[in-house]
Amino acid sequence: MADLGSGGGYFLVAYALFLGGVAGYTIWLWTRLRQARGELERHRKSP
Amino acid sequence: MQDLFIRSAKIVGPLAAILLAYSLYCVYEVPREIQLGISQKIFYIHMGAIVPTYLGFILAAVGGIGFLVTRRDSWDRLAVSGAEIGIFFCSLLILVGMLWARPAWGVWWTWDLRLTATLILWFYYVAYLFLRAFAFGSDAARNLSAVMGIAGTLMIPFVYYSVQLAGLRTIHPPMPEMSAEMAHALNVNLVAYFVVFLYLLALRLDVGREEAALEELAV
Repeated sequence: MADLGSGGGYFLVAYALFLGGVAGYTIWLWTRLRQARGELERHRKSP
Repeated sequence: MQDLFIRSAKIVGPLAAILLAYSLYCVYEVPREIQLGISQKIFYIHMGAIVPTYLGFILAAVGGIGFLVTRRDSWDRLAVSGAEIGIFFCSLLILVGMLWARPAWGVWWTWDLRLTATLILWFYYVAYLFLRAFAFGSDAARNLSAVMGIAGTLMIPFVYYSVQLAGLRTIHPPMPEMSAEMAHALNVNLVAYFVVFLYLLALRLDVGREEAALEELAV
């Protein structure tokens, strides 16, 4: 593994936070969208 | 118009993923800064998050004006979506800024004008989202949040120019001089984060539209 040198830990945490944050927020929105669409579908099938 | 934008997510999503991957590659390739070493590269996330933060908050104002003028729900959804995504990027901006500050300044946080003003901006829009969450979409809450969204943008120029306003009495650096490689990496990051912002906005608007349709069925 490449030598990150001093400050490497901060760098890795910052990128993990950023990528994890974007991925987490996207997944949360996908989940909400799927739930809303699922419920709408149920309403349409049995109003 | 909004429907067309929401549909564009199918193209914008993969594009955002490709650009994000390329931005990571650029950050990996760009030479390390001599004094701060690799932790200086946090700068690229920090700078990249600024534009989506301000854009999100400006959209909260645009949506607020649109809603007050037309009373159409689509404008209100645009305002809430903008504020929510703005808060998301503003949180990242502050957190990665702290991770940059610790090795650079020796402290996680200092009550510098830029930092304090950004934190106040963050609290302001958190209050905006709390108002929306606890008022259950009442008309009064939508009117008040529209006014809050419009008023909030008045803080953005102050936050942006706070380093210049503080003169030499600030620890937060202004935009540094950059080599061509650093400037390229920064530009790629700015474009990538902007496209990520567009994708998240399209997704959030879609969520708002579907949830509004569900609420109408429930009434």
